[in-house]
Amino acid sequence: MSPFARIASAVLVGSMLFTAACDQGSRSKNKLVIGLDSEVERLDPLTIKNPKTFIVSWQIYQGLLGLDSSGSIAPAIAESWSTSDNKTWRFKIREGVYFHPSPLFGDGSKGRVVTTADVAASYTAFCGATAYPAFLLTDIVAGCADYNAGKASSVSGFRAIDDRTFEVELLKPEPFFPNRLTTAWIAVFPSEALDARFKDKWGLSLAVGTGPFRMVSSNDSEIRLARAPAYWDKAKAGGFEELDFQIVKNDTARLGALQKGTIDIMPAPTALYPTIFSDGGVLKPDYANTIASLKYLTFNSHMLGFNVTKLQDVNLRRAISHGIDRTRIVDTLFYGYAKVNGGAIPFGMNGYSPTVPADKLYNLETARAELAKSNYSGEEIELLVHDQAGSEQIGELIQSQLKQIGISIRLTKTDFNSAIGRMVKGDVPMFSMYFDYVFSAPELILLNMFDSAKRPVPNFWQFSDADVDARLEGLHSLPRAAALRDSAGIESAIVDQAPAAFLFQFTPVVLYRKNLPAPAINAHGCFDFAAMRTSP
Amino acid sequence: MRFVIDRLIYVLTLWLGVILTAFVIFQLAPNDPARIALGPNASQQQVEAFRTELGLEKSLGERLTRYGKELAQGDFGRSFGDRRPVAPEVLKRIQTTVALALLSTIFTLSYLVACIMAQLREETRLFTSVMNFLLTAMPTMFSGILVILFVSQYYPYSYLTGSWIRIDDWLFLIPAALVLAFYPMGILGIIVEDEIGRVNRLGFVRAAQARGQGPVNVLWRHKVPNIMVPILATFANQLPLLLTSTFVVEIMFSVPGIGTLLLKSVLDRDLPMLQGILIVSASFTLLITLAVEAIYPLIDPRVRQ
Repeated sequence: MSPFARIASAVLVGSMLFTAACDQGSRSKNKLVIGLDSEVERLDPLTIKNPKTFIVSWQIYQGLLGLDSSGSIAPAIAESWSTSDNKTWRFKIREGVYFHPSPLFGDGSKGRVVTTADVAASYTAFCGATAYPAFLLTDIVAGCADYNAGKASSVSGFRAIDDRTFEVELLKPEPFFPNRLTTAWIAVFPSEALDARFKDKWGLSLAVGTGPFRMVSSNDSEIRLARAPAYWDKAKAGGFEELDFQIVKNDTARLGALQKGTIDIMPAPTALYPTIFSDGGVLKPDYANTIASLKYLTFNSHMLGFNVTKLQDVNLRRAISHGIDRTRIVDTLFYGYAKVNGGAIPFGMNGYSPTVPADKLYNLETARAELAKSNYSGEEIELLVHDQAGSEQIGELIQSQLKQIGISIRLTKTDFNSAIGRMVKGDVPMFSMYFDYVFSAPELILLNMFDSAKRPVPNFWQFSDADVDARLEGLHSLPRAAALRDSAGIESAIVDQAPAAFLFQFTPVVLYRKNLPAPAINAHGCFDFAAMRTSP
Repeated sequence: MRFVIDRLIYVLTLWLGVILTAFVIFQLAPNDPARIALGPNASQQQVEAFRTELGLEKSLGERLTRYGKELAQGDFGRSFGDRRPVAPEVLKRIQTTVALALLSTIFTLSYLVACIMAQLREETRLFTSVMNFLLTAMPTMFSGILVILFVSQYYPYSYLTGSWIRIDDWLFLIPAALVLAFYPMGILGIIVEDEIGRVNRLGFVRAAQARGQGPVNVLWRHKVPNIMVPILATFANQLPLLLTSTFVVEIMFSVPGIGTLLLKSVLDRDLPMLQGILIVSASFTLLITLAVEAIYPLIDPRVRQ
């Protein structure tokens, strides 16, 4: 054997022995490893914009209120709330809620009790000009819009009555105001976080909340959380002690890691559906041996939006809406993991019943009849699609379906942010879009998306109807039950004018190791890992 | 000395030109970073207020002047997206990219040595010839996917923990570094083949063989020094390409380096981050080029003269 061959063989054998000897260590049974497909944003509640970050942030932070798995408002940091006029709301902070131990409070060995000063500081920050969730509060909380515009140094509508009583004054009565606060976006964090000393570390190496887990370390590949010792909800004690979020961008590698057991749980990307599901949406036998799947309903809704100022012909819009076979899109692209919904309000909003029957949506006769009434003369209509959520594939299916009834569609593909820009500018007649609604009440969705005062954003379809506006305004003064009934009527009136062809509501799938219990997930897509036990 | 000063002036001018050109292009690109940062739900008033805070309503000249002043003080600005400081973020990421590139360079140099040794025998020469062809023919996107398919099934190190203390992190980088090294390996192997073939026909090689020197001795003492200049030139050309190729490989293998940050910043229109990435990447590329150019005179006395 030549010297070269001897050296090469020695290197090869040595490498194999070395890598085999490298012990990754037996994993603690109390650690849950979650695989993520993209880097997590800065864990600063003021700047989080990607809903995928919530899977991490919701373990660290909490708001005054939350949403349970049935879609009902659940108390969180606030144990109760009350109002006498729907205009001034009082929230009672529960006793014994502590922020995680942190250098924010001294030497880092202790936490601090939450007070209304923290709630006021957090909520005021959410009204700030650079806060992503500001839109949730600026149009309803007294003084929030002025603070946002830099015209005031504080928000007059936020008041700390005492250490445990926080008051919010609104611009007008709103019976469904608490439904603005159930989202993971509005979280309470320590007032010290706003100090200039911690500005560059906050959300990066420091993230302090009141959630069941505290941050141990964070980098671009891995975020480690440990159980918060003083977490107030003792019912969730006894589960996993550590959460380890691993970023594995490549879907195949991540799925491989799940099969091998180096990852315990991961949201299933739609790109892998053909790989893991057979027709009918059942896990293929190769995967079903080691992995289980769970689908869950969120408020993630997909639609084909129209700019009604560019596509003014309501008959043409109705023709397009009735000419789309939504069931085929759901079965082809999502293996059945989506729920056809022809209305503007997603399923699962507690107390609300959708009024638009899904089986009446796709009707070629109605589509042709509407097209005959329209002024359409065969010209191409531009449809803007983007690179997320299967938008391009949805656009292609719609293009082929509408061709059958004689409507010609031209697809324009761009990246997601450019698509948002063009939607806001209003220079495209049709756009494929999805919304992860952060509101948990139908009234708020209707008010934000269809009130003519909300043009051009977030009323992207530039919808305007005086009667609808009046009825939307009336929702503020109705009792809750009556408001829900009227919401149904308003939704019907809106859908009849077809500002969008509402398509479906996405039901994401999470994959997890078979030896684990199924996770609890609420309609905002927030995983309750604290409630998971280490074995079924 | 004059040569060194001339080169430094040239590199500095190039560096400033790159920054200026990139700044202008980024600032003139369509789409509104303020709208992207605040999202589709923010009102137009909110977006305008944020644009003012970011300084986007100022003229291009005013923005350039402000940026130049900040840069002179070492301030690369803050991300439009989440307001984190740009400099620490970019410097942290470039370390990962440099680690990947270094590991890739080690693989490349190891293959280079193996290729040189392979010239001693006909069978090994043929083998490396075929390997060189395959390595240069396969695009990174293709070889990367093949490696990922293999790695996801059989390789235990699926993800980076980010600690760099655990050996796992370095072992995680091996497949990515290999994919990155494929093309430079192939190109250098081809150069070695061609140059050894050229040098074999020269008289001093035959003279050395006639004096009874062994093949290994002849190879390393006579042939290799005479092929170092073209090898070094090729290697120097490959280094900037290596840096840009890391962008693709990082995205494929989920390596949190400068490439993944670049992609994210482009999609988010995060102009300060993009400018920071460009400045750091350009600086590295120019430094590497300068360093390699400084090595030529050490190897070839004729260049020294």
